[in-house]
Amino acid sequence: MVLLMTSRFHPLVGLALLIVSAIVLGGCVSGAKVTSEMKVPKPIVDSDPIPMGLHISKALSEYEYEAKIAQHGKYMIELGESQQHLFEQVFGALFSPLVPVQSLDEVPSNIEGTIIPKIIDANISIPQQTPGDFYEVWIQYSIRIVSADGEEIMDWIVPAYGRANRHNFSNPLDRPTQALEKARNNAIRDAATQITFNFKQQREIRNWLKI
Amino acid sequence: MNNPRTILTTLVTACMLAGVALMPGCVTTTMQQVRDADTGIESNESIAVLGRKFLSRDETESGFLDCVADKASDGANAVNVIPHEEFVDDLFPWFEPRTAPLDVSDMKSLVKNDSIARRLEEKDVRYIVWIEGTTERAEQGGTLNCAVATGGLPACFGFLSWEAESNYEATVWDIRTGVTAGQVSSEAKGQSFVPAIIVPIPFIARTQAHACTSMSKQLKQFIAGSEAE
Repeated sequence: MVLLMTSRFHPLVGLALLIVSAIVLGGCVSGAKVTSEMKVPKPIVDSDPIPMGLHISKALSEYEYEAKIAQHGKYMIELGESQQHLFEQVFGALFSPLVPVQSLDEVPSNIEGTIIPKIIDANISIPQQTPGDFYEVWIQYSIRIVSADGEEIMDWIVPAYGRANRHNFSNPLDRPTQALEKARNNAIRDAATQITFNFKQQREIRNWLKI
Repeated sequence: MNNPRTILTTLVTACMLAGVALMPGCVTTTMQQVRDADTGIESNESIAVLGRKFLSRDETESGFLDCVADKASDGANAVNVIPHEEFVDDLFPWFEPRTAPLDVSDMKSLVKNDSIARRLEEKDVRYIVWIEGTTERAEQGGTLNCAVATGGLPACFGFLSWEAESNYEATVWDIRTGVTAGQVSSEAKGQSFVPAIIVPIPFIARTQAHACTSMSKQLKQFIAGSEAE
């Protein structure tokens, strides 16, 4: 044991120290940044043969959420990059054809109306803030529908939620980023699920489209 | 730097660090099975191993689901397994936490939807296996302190111990007959401890791995229609 304590540094000892430090520091990793794009599967749902427009604003496609959590660092999630894909998948399954609307000033004439999604707010929570083991993400959407003649049909609020158990991620150094990414992906899936199931059930939409 | 004593010391340290991680603690496993209907599976048919997800409760670890899926598709009585992620993506959004069928009668209603029935048929899904449960730590005790000693090496002293308990239950739905075929459960308990005199030596009770091995073995026997050993 004396030999252990007094021996000079060897590269393998350095490696062992690095591993020990990584394990020890794993509990103190602060902050995370989630930048990856996610893909939502195409929902299995019956489509209505109603031509509908979809407008994805620049603000939506560039949306980021950042939170500074006292003593735990800065957490950032990119939400914007996945939004176009999300809404194309969901509304493309609900309506056919789905027509992209680049500008609200130049709406194509062959559509019944335009869907204008927006993120109103987002929030995150990490396990250190709660009694549980979950990273959590909330996203609040507004789905506004405007008819071809410019009348607002509905402004529907969709609160989406996703979470991920930190114990599902073994590497302590990557855990916050991977868990937060999974929680974000689950929140986006939750939004897709709610829109798929509930959009056509909204009274305003049923009255408008007579479906 | 490279004298034999230093190299020997380094190798001993590295071996201890790597070797101790593999030392197992003692684990006791209990299995149970309830059969409500006859089972059997053709070679072209598959089972889907799914974790029950809730928006407000603990959920089964993804590592456990992957482990059961891997082991059930290997060895004696092996079956074709569709893992959780693949299945829920292929049937999106019908198996999400908000929408997944809660009992076999919900499933029967779901299968009346032609698109879903077709997708299940394409994948040759015969059984859906819902897994619930978690691994919990309890009765944790002791202390362990580490510090950097003379020469820059870390040294630890103390003793840690805890009890881990893995409790899992699998409910098997027969999609073809629309009934619950039965339940299979696996419970593993074990004591882990880490004595440390300079180097911590962990004896880890791998309860989750034992629960996975016994559940997947039992599940394969259950689906094949044979009795548990």
